[in-house]
This record gives sequence, C-alpha cells and structure tokens, in this order.
Amino acid sequence: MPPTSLFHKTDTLINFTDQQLDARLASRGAQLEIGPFTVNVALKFKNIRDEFIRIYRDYPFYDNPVVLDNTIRIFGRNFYRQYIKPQAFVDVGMNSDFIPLPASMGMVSLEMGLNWQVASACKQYLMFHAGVVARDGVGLIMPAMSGSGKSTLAAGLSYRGWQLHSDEFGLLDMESGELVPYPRAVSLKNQSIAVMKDWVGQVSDNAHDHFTNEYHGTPKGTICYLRPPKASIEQMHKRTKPNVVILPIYDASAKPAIRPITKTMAFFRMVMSSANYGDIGEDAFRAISDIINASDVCEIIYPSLEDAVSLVEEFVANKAGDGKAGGDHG
Amino acid sequence: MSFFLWDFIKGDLTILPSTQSFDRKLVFHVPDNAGLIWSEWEDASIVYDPRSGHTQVLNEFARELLALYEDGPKSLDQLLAEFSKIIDAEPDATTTQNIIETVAGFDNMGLIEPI
Amino acid sequence: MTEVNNTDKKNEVTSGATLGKRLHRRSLLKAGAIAAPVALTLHGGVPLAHADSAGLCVINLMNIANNPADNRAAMLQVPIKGGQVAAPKNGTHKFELLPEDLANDYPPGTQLQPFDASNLNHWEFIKDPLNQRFGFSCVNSIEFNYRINGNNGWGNGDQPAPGGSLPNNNAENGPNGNPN
Repeated sequence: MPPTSLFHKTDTLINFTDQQLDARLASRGAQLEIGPFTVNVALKFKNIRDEFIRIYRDYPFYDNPVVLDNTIRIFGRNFYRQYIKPQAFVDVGMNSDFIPLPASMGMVSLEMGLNWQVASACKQYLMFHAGVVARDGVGLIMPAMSGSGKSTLAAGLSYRGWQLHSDEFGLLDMESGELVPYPRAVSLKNQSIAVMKDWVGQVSDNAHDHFTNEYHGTPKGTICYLRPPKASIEQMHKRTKPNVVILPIYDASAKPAIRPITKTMAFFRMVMSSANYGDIGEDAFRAISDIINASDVCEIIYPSLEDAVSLVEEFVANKAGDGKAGGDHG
Repeated sequence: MSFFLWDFIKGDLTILPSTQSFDRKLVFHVPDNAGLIWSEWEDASIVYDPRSGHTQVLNEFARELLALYEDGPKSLDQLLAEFSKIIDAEPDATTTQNIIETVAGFDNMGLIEPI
Repeated sequence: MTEVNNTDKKNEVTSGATLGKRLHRRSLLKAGAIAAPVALTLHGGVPLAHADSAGLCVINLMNIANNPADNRAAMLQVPIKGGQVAAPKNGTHKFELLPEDLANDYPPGTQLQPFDASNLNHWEFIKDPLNQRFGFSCVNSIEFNYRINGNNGWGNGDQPAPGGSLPNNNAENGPNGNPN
C-alpha cells in the first residue's frame, strides 16, 4: 500500500502493473515520489527499466498534475549509441559532468544521477552524508565517508526492524527539527554485497528479488543495489527527531567496541558531512548544535555487520534507555 | 569558500606573513554587535559568525584569549600581560609566538577588530 | 530587505557557557594542560564530494580538479586509494588507475590525501600541514592556518584533563595514537 503523500493528491496516485510502468518509463516518463522529492524518470533502455522496476515498483507513482523536483532521462544520444554500442547518457536538466556508461551499467548511471540532483541542489533540508535510520522515537544519524560501511550498516539495521531513511542522504527539516526520510535503493559495494545477500536471506525467502544485478568494473569495484524493506517504503513520510549520533568505523581485524567521543567531535563530523552547511549558514549551525545537544554520541568499531548491529542496539538501549534516546551530557 | 591554507602557504612555509607586521600596540576588541553564536562543549568552543558565514572552532586556550578580548579592548601586549596573570608565570617564547599567531588568526577570521 | 548592519545583534550562546566553565578553562591553562591555542575554520562538505562518494564513475572529477578556471577545482580532492586515482580512459567508457595526479592550481609539493575510509579516525583531520598532509579532502574540508601539534586538549572524551590524562590527550591527538 503506497504511503499517503504529503505533497500530492491521492486521486492522482497510479497503480501500475509492471508492463504499464515499463511502457511509461520508455515514453514520457513516470513520476515517482521518494520521501520529500518527486522525480520524473524516463529510461530508454529495457535492461535499465527492468532493474528500476525491480527496485521501485512499490513506490508511489503519480499522474499529472504534480510538481516535480527533478527530472532524469537516460538514453542513447544517437542510433549507434542506442542500438549498436549502447551507451547510457544521463540528462538531469542541468549542467553536469557525467561520463556516459555502458548501457549495461545504466542502473548505476540512474542512481548516480538521482544522487547528484539532491546533493547539488537541495537547500531546503540540511543534508548529511550519512546513513540514517529510526525506530521507536530513536533517530540515528551515522555520518561517515564512503567506504566506511555506513550503507551496509544502514541497510543491515533496516532489515532488522529499523526504518530506513537513507544509506546516503540524511535530511533534516530545520523548522521542525525532524529527520526527513529519503529511502532510495541502497548502494552496496564489493564484499558488502555478499554480506547483505546473506543478511536479507535470513529474513526473506526471495532475497534475490531485492537486489539488482552486480555491476563490475566500476572505479569503486563491484556495485549492486538493494531495495529498502517494504515497511521503510510505506513509512517514507514518517519523521523522527534525531537523538543518537554514531560514527561507524569498519575494521575487519578489530575487536568490536563502543568508544566514547566528545560532543565536539560529533559536531565536527556532522558539519564535515554536510554538503549544504555553508549554503544554509546560521540555521544549519543552530540545527547541528541542537542535534548534538539532544543526542547521545559515540563511535563504534566493528569487524562484521552482525557486530555493528549489536553495538548499535547496545548503545541505543543502554545510553538512551529502552529505545528512547536523548539528553544533554555535554 | 575561503582558503586560509592557500594564503598561508603561498609564501615561505616557515613564516607566517600575518604576524611579521602585527602591531603589538594596536588595540583590538570583539564588537558587541557581531552577533556571534556560540556552542560550547567539553573541550572546544564553536562560533558561527553571521557576518562572514564562517564557523570557527577554538580550543580552550584560544577561547580564553578571545574571552580576554571580550572582557574589553586591549593591545597584544596587554593581552600577554593578562595571560601571564592567569598562568602565574611569563609565557615562554613558543607560547608567546603561538598567542601572537592566534590573535592574528582572530583578526583574519574577523572575530576581533581594531578600534 | 535584510538589514546588513544590525546594531541590535548581540552575541549569543546556545549551550554550555558559564562562569564556572571559564574558571575551569583558566585552571587548565594554569596547569599547562593545553600547550597551544588552536583556532580553525570549519567547513562543511562539498556537493561534488557527496555526489562523488556515490559515484565517481559518473562525475569527471579529474577534469574539474585540473581546470583552474572551474571554480569548483579549488575545493576538490579526488578520493584515491593507495596513491592511485581512477580516471576515465580517453575515448572509451572504461576506467584506468593512474598514479597520483595534481590539480594545476595546487601549490608545489602538494600531495593528494590518500583516502582510505576504513582507517579514518576522527582525529585524522588534525594534522600538521607542514608534513604535507593538509587534512583537506573533498569531504573533510577543515582547513588550517597553524601548525597543530602537541597537546591541544582535544581528546576523545574518555578522560578528563588535566591530570593523568595529559599524556593520553597528547597521544590521542597524534596519528594512529602516537604523540606528535
């Protein structure tokens, strides 16, 4: 059941069959709502449409009139690039420096293009490069660099009952102080792919259906996308105030540990992770100060996903008190 | 986005150009109407300056130096004298140079202004 | 219209400032617990970096980094691993790993910060710039205007200072736990 939109009328909601969605994507595009953003997606390659439908079929699609935040088209620029040596060209309606990829990797182009649009143009929400999940009044932000395991950890938590906001984009409504979910496909890389396939397989009989193909030979190695849990898609408009900040550090040789950090360090990492902090200015400073004041903070070192999830659960339970976090220990 | 780092290292890496010509008699102060917004935690003070849009992070040492300017306008020599009273000793040459560099930094950051 | 020179603005504290805190600060200085003042300008990340972390393969970062006329160039540092950088192979849609390259507008001697997120710890960004590690990456854009070494009082919060934590604080502020 698609979630009730905060932005669109329910009578414009469309329930596509897979064939109908495929036809719409191939033509003028389908208008898809993901959290606070609505994007028109048009895909001229069948393989990309198949992958897209696998991930996004349960998301809400709307018919005209809707107000779009973004539009993205993926197509071959000429006959040769459409049919002979298919190459996915990405058009997001703004100046960009995308390298065309082989159409076989077009899903990567699509996800990168969607990321680009939010990363470069979102100013209405304070944005963090972070994994964000929520559960029972706990809003957990995990700011971390690419490769630190935050996507895997966010996905792992979401398949153990946490609501996935995003594995990549933490969004904060500065007026309400609430985290705004933006549950897109989770980007997994290299070893984390097998880890998550096993992890999802423990709770789902058709785990295979949750994943796209694996795309080899990218500069980051092999990439694969994971569909968020159905509950996270259905809760895409359910917001939570942040009250826990955890800095995750993956180290295959480490003993699992929760390490204390100062609020100052947590503040640093939050600011460093925010791509629009400078653009927003004073409101961003106040918002991050408020988050840090209200949050319990720590760092976790973990050698496996299972350890990471256990550490998170332990910290939330002990520091926050039975699922409810908060309090200024600064 | 400003880059102090590039200004800093365009010259000789071992010399800080901003302190060579720093006038120790010039009186600086923190303007009352700067509108600075502070967040202070265990080991650092973080200030947002709405005039520049910059966020500055000060450790306890630097915070106290700025607090001395907030107490009232003073020259660098007066600052050093007050600092000496706080630590009950004359600061050594390295500490003195560090303080001078920090005050030059405050000036660059716009946190203090000459009167 | 926004008033630029708002003489009614007062300085404001959102949390934590008290007279007691100032007295505590002075006691730390008197005890020699903090050897040097540190003042940094803290910047957020940059959109190119955030988008890049999700897909280097679709953003031509090296061309931007090597084009001084592009005002995004100065804020970029291409994430690399093991001293190599992934760059598109001219005329193809393949990628190759090349040795480190330098943006044309970087000062001589600049080395790109090797980006190995699996070893990142939260005090890595406090580095001595004279050791050619500027602590500047396209995601972590804290910049320096001073040498930063020795005990600056920034630890990880597991022990109060001063006292027995002094040597630990110094260690915490060095790379990989070693004193500066």
